[in-house]
Parts: sequence; structure tokens; C-alpha cells
Amino acid sequence: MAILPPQTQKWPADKAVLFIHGIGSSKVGDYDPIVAQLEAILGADSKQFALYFLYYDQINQWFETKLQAQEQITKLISFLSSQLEATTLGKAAADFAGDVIWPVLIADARLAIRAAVLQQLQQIVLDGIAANVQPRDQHITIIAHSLGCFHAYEALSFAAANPAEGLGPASAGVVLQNLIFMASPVQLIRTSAEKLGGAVPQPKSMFSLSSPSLQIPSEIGDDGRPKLCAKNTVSIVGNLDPVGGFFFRSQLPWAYAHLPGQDEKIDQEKVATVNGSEEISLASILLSSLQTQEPPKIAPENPHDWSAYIARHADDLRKWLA
Amino acid sequence: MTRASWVVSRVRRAALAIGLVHASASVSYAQTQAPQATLAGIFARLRAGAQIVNFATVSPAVDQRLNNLQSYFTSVNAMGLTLDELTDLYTHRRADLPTVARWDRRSPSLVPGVVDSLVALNIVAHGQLLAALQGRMSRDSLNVLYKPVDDFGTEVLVKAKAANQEKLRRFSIKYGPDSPHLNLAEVGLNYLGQLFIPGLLPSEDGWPTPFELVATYRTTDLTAAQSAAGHLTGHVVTSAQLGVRMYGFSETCGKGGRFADLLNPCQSSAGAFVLGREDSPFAKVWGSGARGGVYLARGKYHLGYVVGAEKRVVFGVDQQLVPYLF
Repeated sequence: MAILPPQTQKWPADKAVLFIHGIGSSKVGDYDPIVAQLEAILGADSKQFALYFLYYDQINQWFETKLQAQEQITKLISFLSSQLEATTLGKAAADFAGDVIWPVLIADARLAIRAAVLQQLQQIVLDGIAANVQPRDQHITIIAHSLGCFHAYEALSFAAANPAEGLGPASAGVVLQNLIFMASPVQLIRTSAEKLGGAVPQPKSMFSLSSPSLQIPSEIGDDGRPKLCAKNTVSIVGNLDPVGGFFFRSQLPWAYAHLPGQDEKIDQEKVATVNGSEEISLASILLSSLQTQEPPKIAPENPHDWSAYIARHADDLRKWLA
Repeated sequence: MTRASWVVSRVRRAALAIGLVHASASVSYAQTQAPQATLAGIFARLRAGAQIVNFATVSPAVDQRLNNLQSYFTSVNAMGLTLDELTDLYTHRRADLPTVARWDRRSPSLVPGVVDSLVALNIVAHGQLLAALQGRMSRDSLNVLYKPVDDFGTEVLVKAKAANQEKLRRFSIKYGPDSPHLNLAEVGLNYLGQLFIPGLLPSEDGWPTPFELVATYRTTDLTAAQSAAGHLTGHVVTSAQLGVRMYGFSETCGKGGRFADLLNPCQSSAGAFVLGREDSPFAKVWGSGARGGVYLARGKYHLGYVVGAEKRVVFGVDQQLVPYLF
């Protein structure tokens, strides 16, 4: 039986979307809310898309079990959670730290996930060919969130540097329609790995670390110029999302992934929802407090939420995927 | 000549060229009963496409590159290679053991530069020439013209996907739920080993290394020794192993009945073996009086041999009594 077999399906037309999740565990069915959201955004056009979902948690679990690290990782996450605010953001940041350990410190973990991403991409292109759509006519979009951006970046960079993968934009003519990063931690991981210096094994196999600077993955074409792996590369980051390189609305150059040539969208996020209102003001807090005779109810929002990113860019996604 | 008639004339010439390729393929089919496009066929299609768009004028530098590549492949006798052979070269990117064993200096697989030239050819095929053809031809016509080029790409994808699947299978053997778990010392050793010992790193193209360092402390190994009364008595002893584990990665490892783990294991290891001063469980294995030897392990079973005045054969099973430690 194949290990982590790639998802395969018949294409209804010439379009496909690959979703790559970020931090935390994702199992079959966990993408359903995202899919429902995208279907609502695209309406009847959503039937034209073959939707693919990458699951790679099993690989992280191999390494946790082999290295008997579950307990240590759990301790790390609970420690970070206790140090960070007891919000979904705090949990997200703690989970993120736990998940990043494998690709940074264990070369095999990094390369195993890369192989999983590559074989899924290869299967998608082959499914398109089976539907009589050659790679030059395929419209493939990758929508990656959080750590998924890192794995997509690593896989596409490797594919661009290794024509033997059959996915090179110049050597195989495989050029994505869209490469959409949502809350990309690629620069954050690059900076962290740089700080670790010699403690990162085989840094050459980590493109986000070994490249002189972060670039959209590309291959030199027959005109001597780089041919990018995607026609449209977009980075979307909320201005309160630390994973994407923002800290309380300040962009951190050492953490924000700026890839020259990408379309950059910075979302104006809100710290909290106050009594259901999106306005954060002292007046609204005081007013609601006076009305209810209770302390104001403040529900912290998760600025790293994938679903919120998609909702904020419904119109953009409709345009990009058209 | 109007532009329209010029295009029609070019397309006719291209169609004639394609027809010749088909004819040649048919002859080949009749001879071998297994028609397969060859590198010559790919060049014929690219040349036909170049004629359609008058590529020598549109992009003389790239057209010249195409000429140079054709001359090069002809000079190394590669024009007759089939897509299967070409994509083998393209995806393996180095000579494998059987190829070396059948060493043939005229074999294209061993000629430096063949793979890089195939990459260059693909870049030409998917570059300005393709863009120009897309402006002139319908999608279906282009698909017909580019069939061998597309078939090459499809075969590369199929083989590359299989290689990635194989990588994942090997990673699962080394790290999956049935692999030996590492204790804290081994985690540290293997992490440090990754930093300083190249053999413990995955290959540059992403294949896992079969090697792993072993550093265990076992408290329940068994041995037999002659007592003072001359009887052969069994003892539970404490041992330590410091060695190298090697994973087999074969398709059949770990399979095949009750004794598969012994007869056909996915991993074996060997190295230094140490027993404490006395034959007793939960004893320290270092310090004065420690006895040394060698061990060999297959699957979860290991056999140690202690040299010196008190020779011993020691048998044990890899089972961690205390997780994380031993």
C-alpha cells in the first residue's frame, strides 16, 4: 500500500486548486469549512474546479513518535500557551512553534514533507493531462496558509531548481495560475534559522534559508530571464498577525516575507469584537457596560484565522480564480 | 505572397515533416512492435514548429541553440533514445549501479552533459517557440504537433512522482510507527551527527540516508555462563551498545511470516558491545572491570559477543523498558 498517496481525481474543466494547511493537525474533513467558503465565493463556477487538499501531519507524527518527543512538544506548547495570552492567538502561536521544530531542526522531516507536496503537485498536473489539458493550458492555484506557505515555497523552489521533478516553469512549462500565501512565515522561519546558525542541519536543502534573499521560485528561461513559477503570486497578511510578520500593526522586516514581484495585501485587522460590534472604542465599551450593568464583553479575535483571510478577500479570489 | 498564404505554406511544410516522422515511426513499429517516440522525433516536431513561426528570424539565438543541441545529441549517439530511456536519464540524473556494471563509454547515459542538454532542449521547447506557436495554432493542432514533447513531460512526471512516493516509503520505514524509537541519547547523537557526519544526512535530492547512530543501555539481555559447580546457568545481564543502524528499504522488508523480523528485517545494526563487571541486571556497564566486545542486530533481535577472559554470548530483544531512557 502506498504511503501517503496523493489525492487524485477527474478534472471537470481546466482548473484546480490545492489547499495547504498551516499549523496544527488537519485530518480529512478539516478543510470542509474552507471549501464551503470558497464554493460560496465562486458560486456555480466552483463546479469547474478540481479541489485538492494536502495532509502532512502524519509525517510530523512519525518524527514525534520516533524521537519520543510528544511529551516535550506538548510541554513546549503548553509553556508557550501559558506565556502568551490565553486566546486562540496564543494557542496558535504555541502550536506554530511546535510545528516549526521539525522542518528546521530535522533535515529528514523537511524533505519528507517536501516530497509529499511535490508528489501531490505532480499528481495534479497528471490529472490535468488525463483530462486532455496539457500543463501549458492548466490553471492551477495554490492557496497556502501559515506553515503551509513554507512547505509550498520549499517545494516550488526545489522544483524550479530540479527539472527532474517535471514541474519546472521553464523546463516543463508548469506555471501556476496563482500562488496565494496567507500569513506566510517564510521570512520568520528564515530569520529564526539564521539565528540558529550552525544548529540547522543541511541548510542547503532549505531554500528559504540558503537563498541569498527570498524570491518567487523561478527557473531561467530561454531568453535568459527568470521564468516565475506562478503568473500571479500574492501575499496576504493581517496587520495583527505575528506569524505573517506583524506585531500590533507594525511590520517587522525580519519577519515579513517580502518576495519581490509579489502582489502584497495587508489586511487591517481588529483586535477584538466588542459586544458584537466591530468598532473598538472607549465609547462603545462604556456604553455597553452601562447598558448591561456588567463589565464589557470583549471577544478576542484570532488574526491568524485562515477562514477570516479568505472571507476578507472574497472578491479578490473570485477575480484571481476566474 | 500574402501573409495568410505564407502561413498556410508553412503549416503544410510542417504537416509534411510531421507526416515523415509518423512514417518513420510506422517503419519502426513494424520492426519492433513497440513504437516509441525518440529524441529524433522530438527534434522533428520542434523543427516543424520552428518552420511554422519562422523561428530562425523571430528568435535567431534560440533557433541556433536548437541547432547546437541537435548537433550535440547526434554526436553522442543519443538521437535514437526512446522517451522511456530519455526520461530515465532525466529523472535519475546519475548512472545507477547496473549501468556502471555494464560500463559502456559510448553509452549516452554516461556522457557528461546529456542530461543538462535535455534540460536545455526542454527549456527551448517550452519557451519562445511555444509562445509563438500558441499565437499561430489552435490548441488541438499544437497538441498534435507537440505530442512527443508533451509525452516526454508526462513520463518525467510519472517517474518523478514514483520517486517521491518511494522517498516517502523509505522515510516511513525509518521514521514510521514500526521503526525503532530513539532514546534521548540517540536523539542527541543523531541530531549532532546530522551536523557533522555527511553520511547521516539525506542526499541533496531528498533521499533519506539509511544510517542512524545507536547508543543503548539494556537491562534485560540474556547470557549463559558456567557456574563454579560446572553447571551452565542463565543470567540476565546489563549491556550497552554503541553502533550504526542501517535500514534496508527493500520492498519486502519486514514482511513474510512470523520470523520476518529476523530473516528479512528492515534494519540491522552493528558496533561495540559492553557488559558490566558482573552478570547482573540493572548494573553499570562502565568503570573498571567492564567487558567489551561486538554486537550484531537484525530487526529487534541482537547478539553480542564479549571477548577477553570471560567470553560470553549475549542475546537480547530491542524493547525500551523506560521510554526516553532505555
